[in-house]
Amino acid sequence: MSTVRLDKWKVLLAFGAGLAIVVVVANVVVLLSTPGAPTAPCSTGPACPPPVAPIALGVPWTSTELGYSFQYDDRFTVVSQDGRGVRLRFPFDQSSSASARKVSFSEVAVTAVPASEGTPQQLLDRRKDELSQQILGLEADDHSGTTILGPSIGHLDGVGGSYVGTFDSAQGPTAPATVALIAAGNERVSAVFTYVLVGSLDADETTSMRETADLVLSTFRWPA
Amino acid sequence: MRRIRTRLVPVALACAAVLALAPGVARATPGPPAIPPLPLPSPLQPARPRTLGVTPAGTNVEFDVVLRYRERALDQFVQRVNDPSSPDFHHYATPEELGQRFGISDAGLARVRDWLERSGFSVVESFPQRTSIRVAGPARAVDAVLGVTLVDKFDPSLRRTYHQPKGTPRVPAAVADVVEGVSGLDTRPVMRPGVAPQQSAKPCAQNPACLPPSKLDRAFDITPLHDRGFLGDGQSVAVIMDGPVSDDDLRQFDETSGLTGVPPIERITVGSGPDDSESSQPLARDEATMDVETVQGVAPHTQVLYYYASLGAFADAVNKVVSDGRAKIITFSAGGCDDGSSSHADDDRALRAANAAGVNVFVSSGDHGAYTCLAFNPNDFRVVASEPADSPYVISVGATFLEYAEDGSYVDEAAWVEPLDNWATGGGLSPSAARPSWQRGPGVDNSSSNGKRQVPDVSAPGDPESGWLIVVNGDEQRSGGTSASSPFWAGITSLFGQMAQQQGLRGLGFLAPTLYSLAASSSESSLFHDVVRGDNLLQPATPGWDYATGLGSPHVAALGDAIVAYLKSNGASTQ
Repeated sequence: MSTVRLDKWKVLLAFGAGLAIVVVVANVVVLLSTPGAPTAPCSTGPACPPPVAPIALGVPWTSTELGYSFQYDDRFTVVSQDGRGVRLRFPFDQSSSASARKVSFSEVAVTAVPASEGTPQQLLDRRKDELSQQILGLEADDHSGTTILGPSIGHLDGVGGSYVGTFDSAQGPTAPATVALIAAGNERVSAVFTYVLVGSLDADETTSMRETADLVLSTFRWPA
Repeated sequence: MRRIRTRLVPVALACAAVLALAPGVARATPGPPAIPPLPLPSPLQPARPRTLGVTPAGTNVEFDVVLRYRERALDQFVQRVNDPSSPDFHHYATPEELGQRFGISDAGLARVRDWLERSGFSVVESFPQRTSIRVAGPARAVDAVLGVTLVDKFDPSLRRTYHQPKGTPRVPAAVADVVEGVSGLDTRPVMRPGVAPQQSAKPCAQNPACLPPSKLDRAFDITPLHDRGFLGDGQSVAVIMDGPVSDDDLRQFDETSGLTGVPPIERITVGSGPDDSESSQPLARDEATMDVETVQGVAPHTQVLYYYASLGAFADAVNKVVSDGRAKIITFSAGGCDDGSSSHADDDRALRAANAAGVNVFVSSGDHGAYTCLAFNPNDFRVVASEPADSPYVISVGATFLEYAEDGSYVDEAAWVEPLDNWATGGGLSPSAARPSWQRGPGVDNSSSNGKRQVPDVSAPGDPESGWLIVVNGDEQRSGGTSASSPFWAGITSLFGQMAQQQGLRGLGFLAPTLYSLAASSSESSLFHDVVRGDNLLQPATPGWDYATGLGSPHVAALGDAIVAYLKSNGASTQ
């Protein structure tokens, strides 16, 4: 009985192995015989990837789900990411300057959805709602040079604004927060860019910090 | 205990931040509903200037006496020499001819000099084109002769002192027929260099994003001209700026960039030069050094003449370049907010005369997009162009964001725009100057056109993200702005000048009409990279001419050949 049972296992294993080989061979044949994915007729424009890879100005990041990409300053570190977006944090050196010591943190986040799931304006509104849960009294910042005059992502015009509020930590409202939101989209993807600074910097460092974050917007490439 | 709590605060903040910024994650207990925002410090609010008091009577004051000119006749002359259909095409005038034909008479000039001497003023600079005279004298003489009271002020944001007249200067009736007015008594800094700050803490040696001359040459097809022997030999470019330039920095830049045969710069001071409070501004040194190095990087054998001048004496610097007659190319990377409220009579006069003498003046178009006044007041959101870039007698240069491959080859380009901090290529409409007849072609007539001068004319890389390698104070840095793109155009124009001379042409003349004509009549893509991405914070880059990048950036070798062929076929004067 046991011998018979063993023979049956051998037959079953041989069948399984054979089947696996057939499947692997079939997949290889299918892969080799499938023509390449059709490329969109793209010459120039915001939706067209460059024909040759340019040198990296920062650390590249690509959305595995939605296909957009950008680069960020290598001083940022990734806090979290998924197929649709990423959150980056700027590690302020607390000993670097008196101004920097007044900063709790600064973050840049990029998130996106398929265009069918929201317009840029809807995305921006949602993001503002999310932020207002932790930044109290979040309101339009219309008094300073941080106003977003020409909102765009990846050289594609969009919507945007600057906001201020008070960051609400476990200790209660502790520090002023400045926020910049920019959203844009093409026929495939809507994306929203978030810049948050909790604390305060002097004028030069404010400019420098925002320039650093700007690299994300300059290098952003929309999926074709 | 206190210390421990302090240490815990950042940790708690960071933990809370993770919750706050994670999309879709809501707090379990929302915060109190109506807490007003904590006040943000307002570092961006400009500090108000302080009045220090009446300028001491013995203080030496420099200013310009603007002479009367036959403006209409000069305008007609400028039209003719820039019009290929005119028999006067490219028959530019010498400074002496300009003075004789359009300036006041010898007797009138003698009367002005006599008046100045009797009034206690000495002549610091005078020019054969007779546009203006730079004079100096004690404040007491200014007050007495011109009927004003000079007042000293201090600008805390710039840490600069300056003086302003109370009252409108009056020219005595005895010389009113030969003196149009005075300019430059108000030394408030109204122009600023446009150099954009360095973006990265990483030095250039470790940063592939620093754009050295060799890669720039490749990206814009300058290398073929160098290979043909066009390195700027026999050409001169005048750089006008107010900061010190170190020979050590220039040597280091040459060595780092592999440049050979670079002639040492010549320094020429205009008037008494900028005062210490101006020349010591941090941006002054950066700007001056970048301007010189950029010209030399593109055209290494070009002789750079460094005109060391207060930005307030821009007109005198231009007059001096024209009267010296050594450079037919000027680059000036500074500008002011042209809101139409102030007169630039002396600047206009000097630039018009320079144009009539066939001098190309390249000016950076500004670094705050359509909102030039932001450079002076971060809360000033008026849509205003930069002056003197919006003069019809200059070539206004905007900036782009260049993407290039590892070997330097051109990949793509967009208008330079940084939406988060409102830096961008400058562009817009002049509030006063009419659009010149030569400014025409695809894209020029658009929904914003109002008959006024439109800028920029052309562009070149300037986004500091893909910034230029420069050496300042011994440090290799990455910098940019339209400040970089203007000297780039000055540099390549010196190569064009050498090409023209080799072909027997006397010179290039004012290039703007030629550039627009070539762009309109030929396949533009063969001469210019037509930039169609990005914007100036207000108006987008579009096919053809636009307010962000003008005609675009050059295919240098092809453009040089096309310019020379155009000038020859249109009968430009030969040697």
